[in-house]
Parts: sequence; C-alpha cells; structure tokens
Amino acid sequence: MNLSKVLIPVIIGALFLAFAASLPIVLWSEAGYTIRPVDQIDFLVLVAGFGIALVTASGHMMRVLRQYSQALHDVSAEDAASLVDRMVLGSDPYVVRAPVLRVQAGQVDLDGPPIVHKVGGPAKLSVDLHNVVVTSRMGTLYRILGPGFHDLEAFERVWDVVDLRPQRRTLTVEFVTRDGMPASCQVSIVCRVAPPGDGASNSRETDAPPSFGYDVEAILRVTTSKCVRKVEGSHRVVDWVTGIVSDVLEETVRDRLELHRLDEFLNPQYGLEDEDGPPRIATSPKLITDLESEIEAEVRAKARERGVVVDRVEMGTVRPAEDAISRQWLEFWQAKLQKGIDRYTMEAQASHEQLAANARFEARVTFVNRMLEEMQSYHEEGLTVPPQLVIASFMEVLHSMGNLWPEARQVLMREAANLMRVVGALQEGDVRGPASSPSLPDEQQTRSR
Amino acid sequence: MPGVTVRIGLLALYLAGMVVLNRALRDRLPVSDAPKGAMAGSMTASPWSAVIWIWGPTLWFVPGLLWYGILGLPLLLLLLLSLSLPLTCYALFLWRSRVLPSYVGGGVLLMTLLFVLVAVTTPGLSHAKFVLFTVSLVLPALFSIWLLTVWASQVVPLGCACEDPSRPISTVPRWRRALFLVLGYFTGRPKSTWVVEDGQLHTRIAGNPWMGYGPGLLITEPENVVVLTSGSRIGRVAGPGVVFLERGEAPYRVVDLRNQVRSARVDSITSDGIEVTTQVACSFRVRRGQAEVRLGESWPYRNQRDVLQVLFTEEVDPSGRSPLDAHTAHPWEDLPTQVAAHKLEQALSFYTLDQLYAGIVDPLSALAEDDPQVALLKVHRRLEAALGLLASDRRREGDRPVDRLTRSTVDDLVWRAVREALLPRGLEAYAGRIVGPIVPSNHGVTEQRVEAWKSRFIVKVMDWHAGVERKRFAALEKIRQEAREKLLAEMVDETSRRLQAGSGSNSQDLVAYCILSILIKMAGVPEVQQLLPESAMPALEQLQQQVGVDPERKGEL
Repeated sequence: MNLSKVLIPVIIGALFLAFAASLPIVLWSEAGYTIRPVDQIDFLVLVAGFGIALVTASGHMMRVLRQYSQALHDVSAEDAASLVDRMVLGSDPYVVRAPVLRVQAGQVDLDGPPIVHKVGGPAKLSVDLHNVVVTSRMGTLYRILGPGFHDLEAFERVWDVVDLRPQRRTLTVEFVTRDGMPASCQVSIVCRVAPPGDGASNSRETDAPPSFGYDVEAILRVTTSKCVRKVEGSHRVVDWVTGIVSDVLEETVRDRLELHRLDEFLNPQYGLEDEDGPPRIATSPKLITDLESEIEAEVRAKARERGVVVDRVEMGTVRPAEDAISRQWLEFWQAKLQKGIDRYTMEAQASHEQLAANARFEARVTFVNRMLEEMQSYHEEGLTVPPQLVIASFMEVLHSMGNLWPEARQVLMREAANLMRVVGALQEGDVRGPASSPSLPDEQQTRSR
Repeated sequence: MPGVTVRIGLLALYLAGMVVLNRALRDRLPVSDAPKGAMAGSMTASPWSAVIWIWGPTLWFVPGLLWYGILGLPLLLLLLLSLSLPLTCYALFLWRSRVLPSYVGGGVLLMTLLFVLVAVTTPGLSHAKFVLFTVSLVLPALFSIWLLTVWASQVVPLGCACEDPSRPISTVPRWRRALFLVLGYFTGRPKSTWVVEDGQLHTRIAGNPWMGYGPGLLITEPENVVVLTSGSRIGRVAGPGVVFLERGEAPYRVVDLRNQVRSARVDSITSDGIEVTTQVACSFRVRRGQAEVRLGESWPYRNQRDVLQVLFTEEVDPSGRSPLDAHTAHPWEDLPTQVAAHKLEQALSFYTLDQLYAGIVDPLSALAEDDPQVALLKVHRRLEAALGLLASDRRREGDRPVDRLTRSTVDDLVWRAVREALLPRGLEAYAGRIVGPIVPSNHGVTEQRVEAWKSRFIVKVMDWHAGVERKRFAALEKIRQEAREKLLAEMVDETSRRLQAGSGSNSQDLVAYCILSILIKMAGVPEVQQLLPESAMPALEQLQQQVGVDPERKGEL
C-alpha cells in the first residue's frame, strides 16, 4: 500500500475542510451578520477556488515529474505518465494497472511493454517455468527471481535470463593430428545450470512433480561470466552455453584429439587379417567411446567451476579434412575388394579351356623345338640324319625334360611299359612284341588282374 | 451582485485555464529543443524558467483574485499580493535549492513584505480575512513544494549508498539531490544527464556542465564504469550505478568491466621455414583481483588507477585507416590480442613444423639424451627464457615433463607472458588460448604429408597385387605342367602304339620314322605351326624322308 495514495488525499481533504470551516468564521463572525445567498455563493466560490488550487498543485507536480521522467528516460509522454503514476501512487488493479513483462523460453518477451524493458519497474514480472531472471537496479545486480509472478521495484530491470532446461549445442572441432593431418570431429554437449546442492534432490524418488531447481550462486556465476566479443552489433555478448562450448568443450576436445595420429582414430589396415607383406605399422585405433568418456570427465570438471552441469558429451567420428585421405581410404577399400576379384578372376582364367589348350600348344612347340635343336646341326650341314640320332634325340629330350620338370619324370614312370617297349626296340634292333620285352612289375600285376 | 458575477467568472476562467494549459503542456518539454549531445541552455534560460514551468501553469494568483470585493483591497494590490505571496514561497524554496541566488530570494521576500505592509495598513481591512486570504494562497504553494520534494525522490533514480564520501555532493541528502535535478531541468539550463545503454553513452538531458543548474547525472549499467573529465583533465572513475556529477564533470569514456574476448589471426614461420597460420583468442578484463560479482554490490574492480591505466594504453596507429580517422586511437580491447598475437608469432618460430604437432608422449624416454623429445623440451625451455619467464615447474610431475602437446605448452608459455605484460596496464588476462589448429599456410605442405601417409597404404595394395600375380603365375605353371605331362604321355603312348602296329618288324628306322611322324603331326596343328620357326616343318619332313622305311610299312604306321 503506497503512502502517497492515502496521505495525499487525506492532506488535501484536511486542508480543504479546515479552510472551509474557517471561512464562515472569518467571513460571518461579526455579531448580527445575516448570511445572504450572495455570501453563500462567495463562500462556495472561495472554497472551490481553494480546492482547485490544492488539487491543481498536486496535479501539476505530477505533470512536472512526468515531464522530467519523459526527458530522463527518453520515453513517450504516455509511458512517462504511467511510470510516474506507478512510482508515486503505486500499482492498483483498479486505478493504475501495472504492465506485465513476460519471460519465457529463455528470453524476455520482446513484444512486452517497452517502458519496462527500458526503465524497469514498478511492474509485474511473469517468469515462466524453467526460467530464472537476474534483475538489476540502479547499477547493481539486484535479485534472482525464479519461476512465478513477481513485483519489479522502481527501476528494477531484467538484466539477464537463464534457461534452466538442458541445452544442446553441436560443434565441429577442427584439429591437426599428431602426424600433421587436418581433421575434424563433430561434438555435441548437453548441459544446464547447476541445480542446488549436488543435484541429488532431483534424482530422488518422490511424489512431488519434477521441477528445474537452480542454485543462486551458479546463476550469478553463469550470468556474470559472459564474455563481450565486440563493442557493438548483434551477438556482441557470448552467452553461457556458447562460452562453455567454445572455451571448454572445443579446447578440451582439440587438446585430446591432437595427442593422436590419424591412424589411431581410423585405420582400415588395422582390421585386416595377418597376411604376408610389410609389418603392420598402425597401433590399435583409439575407440571414440574411450575418448568420449575421457573428454566428458574433463569438460564436466571445468564446467562445474562455471556453475554448469554437463549431462553428456557426444562425439562423432573423426573425419579427415583432406579429400586425398578419404580418397585413399576408398582406394584401399576398393583394392581390398579388388584383391578378391583378382583372385577369383585368376582362378577362373586358370580353369579356362583356352588357357589349357594354349598350354598344350606351348608344350608341343617346346617339344618339337627341343627335338629340332638336337638334330638341327646335322640337318644344316646337309648330312643324313641316322635313325639312331632321331631316337637318341627323342630319348635325350625325354631325359632332359625329366630332369627339368619333375612331373615329366613321373609321367615317364607312369608310361614305363610303353617306354620300355620303345627302348627295347632300340636295343634289339628288332622288337618282337610286348610279350618278349622286359616286363615291369606294374604291367605284370595289371595282366594278372 | 456584480462582484459575485466577477468571482464566478474568474472561477470559470480558472477552471478553463487549467484545462487549456494542461493540454498545451502535455507534450512540451523545457529543454526539448536542444539537440542531444549538444551543450544546451539558451541565453533566455534563467531560474525564473523553473517557476514558470513548474508553477506557472497552476495559475497560482487566480484563487487570490477570487477574494476581490470580499477582502476590501484594491484590485491592483490584490493582484500583487496574489502574485507575490506564493512567489515568495517558490523563491525561498528555489533559493534553498541553490537555483536562485540569495539576493533574488531576499528581494522577492522584501517586495512581498512591502505589499503586505501596504495591505495591512489599508483602512477597513479585516485582519482575519487577510490571514485567511494569505493562507489560501500560501498553503497550495507550500503543498506543491512539499509534494515535489517528496515525489522527486521517488521518481528520480538515486542509486546506491556506495559513493565516495569525499565528494561535496555526498553531504547533500538524497531527496534534495533529486529535487536539485528536477529543478535544474526546469530552469532550461541544467547540467547534463547521461545514460549508458548497451555500453554506449547517451545524452538524455543536454546541459551545460559548467554553467548549468543542479547537479549532473550519470546512470550506468551494472557492468560499466565511466571515466569522467573535469575540463581537460581526467577526473575520476564513476559508477557502476547512479552518479551525481559536479561542476565541470563530463563523461570521457565508458569502460566495460565484464569479461572481454577478442580473437586474431596469427601468421608465423616455423624454424624449418614453413609458414603456419592459427587463431588466437584472449579473454581479459579490467583487473578485479579476487573480488567476485555479488548481488546488491557494485561490479568489482581493483582501483581507479587500473581503469584509467586501461584507457592510457590505447594506441594511435594510422596504418590501414583513412586520413579522417588516422589519429583515432584503437580501443583498449584490441591491445591484449595484439600482445598475444605478437608473442605467439615469436613462439611458433622456435619450433619445427613437426615439433608443433608433437609433444612429450613418453616422459620416461624424454629423459634419455638421444630421444627427440629431449630436443623438444630444450626448445620449450629456450622459449620460456626468450619470453622472459621464470622457469616453471608446473608442467612437471615429479621428475617427468608433462608437456603432452606442444600447442598446449606454447599456449601456456605465451599466456604467462601476456598476463605479465598486461598487468601493469590495468588488465588481467584470465584465459587465453590458440583457438584453432595450427595449419601450414601453403596447402602443399599438407598435401605432402598426405602423400607420405598414403605410401603405407600403397605398399599394402602393391603387396596384394604382387600376391595375386604370384598365384596367377603358379596357376599358369600348373596348367603348363599338366599340358607337358599329357604331351609326354601321348608321345610315348603313340610311339609305342605305332611300334605295336608295325607287327613285329620294328627297327630303328621304323622307330625314328614313328617319332618323326608324330612330330610332324604335332607341328602340323595350325596353332603350333604359328609358334614354330618357318623352317621347322620342312626340316622335319626332310628328316622323315631320310629315314628309310618300306613304303608298305608306312601305310601300317
């Protein structure tokens, strides 16, 4: 209840009544004075004049202060009048209705009353669920107001709003690996302003509806640790979440990732089975989940100093910045596939009839060439080649083939019966037939069968 | 009866005048014509302007005229008394409020006393009526003065009680200061009122800091202070909050006490001649020591000297500026980044490119003389000395160095150097870092690194190809082997078969003839013939002819 609202009318009334009471005494106190209607009119005129002067005095002082406020706060005449009325007479639902400024979704309603934005109270402040407001009043931070309906005092303004809901931000951290490879990694953080105490009350099983608690110290720390990054313009002040992301998260992630070589994050060679070839160079790839938990612990500790609780940090995979690296990985992957294809193709080729026929032709050519080589010198000199030489050459070729290719010897062993027949014919000069030729054990066994 | 009519007419005029004046004055301000930021105050402005602007519209003399014909005084005297009695109240009030000089107040008082004396000595005057007449004039005037006094302190922001007790204004009660401000404004020549909004200084009431009436006013945000000048001298640091300004004081600069962050690109050359680029960010603020921001207290700073020192660090650098603003100083907020960028540029040049990405990964081996990490440690120590820093044990755990990443170590060293450089300038760098990766300016360097990295993959792929080739050759060899086996078997089998077909007349000629026949048959296959020399077939046929075999037997074979 504002004192002026009661006191001023009381004083005006008292003065008015005192004047009205004293006026007849002064005017008509003479003995035997008869009060005429004209005297009554004079009385009314003087009383009205005095009353008007009193009311005018108060009204014009309000006008004076409105004009001063209008100039001081650079607001419209209507806003200044409304402001001075509220300051002097206080807010009243019937006489002077206080403007209501709403705070929701982490920000002040920009369509709210401009006078409250600019000058502040007296006004009503409606703070939505999961928001906290820090107010300032005449150069100092004044109060921290949680969700609810509040009365803003004179010149009390909304200085900052903190959204208590978990905040998610995603950032791409660019870094250079230990072996000088530019790479990047997408990281997300989910954080919120620290709840009161250790936050255990939130996790306790109770029937009470859950709510976003806040710690006054944490709110103050979060709002006063904002950074100014330029003198003017939009986004000149970095909010607390951006501060955590750029100062804490980005720095921690980069410091951690730059400790490793590129192949430690992602190395296609590592998963290969042991094969012949150069020894494996890469060490075991660092699992992103391990890094994530290490980074989360570090970020959590740093954020706590700023009054912020980190719910979780989510790391994406490390991606090389250079296309050449991705291309190389692709080529490597292609080569891995191609290896199987090559092997299959080769096997298919090997079983191909044409290849076999070619091989047969090659073998025949080799044989004929070898025979000719043996007999060529006689033939070139114009000498008659004796049959013995043909046979000897044949045997020599067989012999040398047996020496050169082990499989040829096995063939000769297999074809021993036939071969013995030829050899027998050569030795005896007149072969009698297979029955008279020396028999081999295999042949005897075959016959007996 | 005519007297009553006049009085009723005056009352009606009084009411009508109120309404008209109220409407006329609604959107008019005493000093609204003065341009913002200009030193306002017209020559016509005077203390009487306050009387006219504040009380003039109340038409204070009209209620006194209503007494015409009742009080028994001549109209002129009644008018003079109606004017002067409330005016005396206003004049004395303005004199007490330092708006009117004492001699003017005294003069008005004497003049009023004279009028009263004349009135009192007028024959037939009822003293009781005169007293009531006087009361009816003075009471509304005093009431308005009281209201103004009470309400001004509610409407004018008076700020907190934390102010310099040595200032003369601090001896004046707050309600009176508020009154001084309002009265000064209505004189038409006030001292100026400034407001800091979003870090920018705005003139709200243009005035004259030297000649203006009342005190000046400065309202800052919680996070700002304002350096005031008095004439051409630096005066004091005002704020944060509401500050009353004294004669001659005017704002010079606004200093933001909040944390500041600025970033800059840094180009440097490593000790092995590779140009590198990175980004540096510096977080700093005006020195506040260990003080924390608290509710209900001013934003802390260590002392005025630090704030003033901050402004004296501003440098004039015409490079890159137009001739118009060549002599404008760069803001103090740019200084920490400049210092940091310079130190970082120097620091990076101590390392080779590989060292910049390296670090002490194995503290134990880093103690061995032949380890490359020892060289890196030596560079760290050399940089520490070059930056003029005392050797720090912070990066050592026991006897083992923990410089896991060169970038972090450089960060740490540079920021120690920056911090020390900024402290005497009133600034504290509370955090600083290389915000981006250190990357070679020339992309060719990165490409070369990628090529080197690729080699291990290429070796592996080549190895795979070689393996497949090996297998292919082995398979081919197997096919050939099979072909040779088949050929030999066929040869021997064919020879034997033909000898058998010779029905017991085998001779060496016949065997030779058989062999040659088989060879000719083999060579006669077109695919084989293509691979043999052209002379092969004739040579074989000639050889066959040379072997003497009966023509009859040839048919058998």
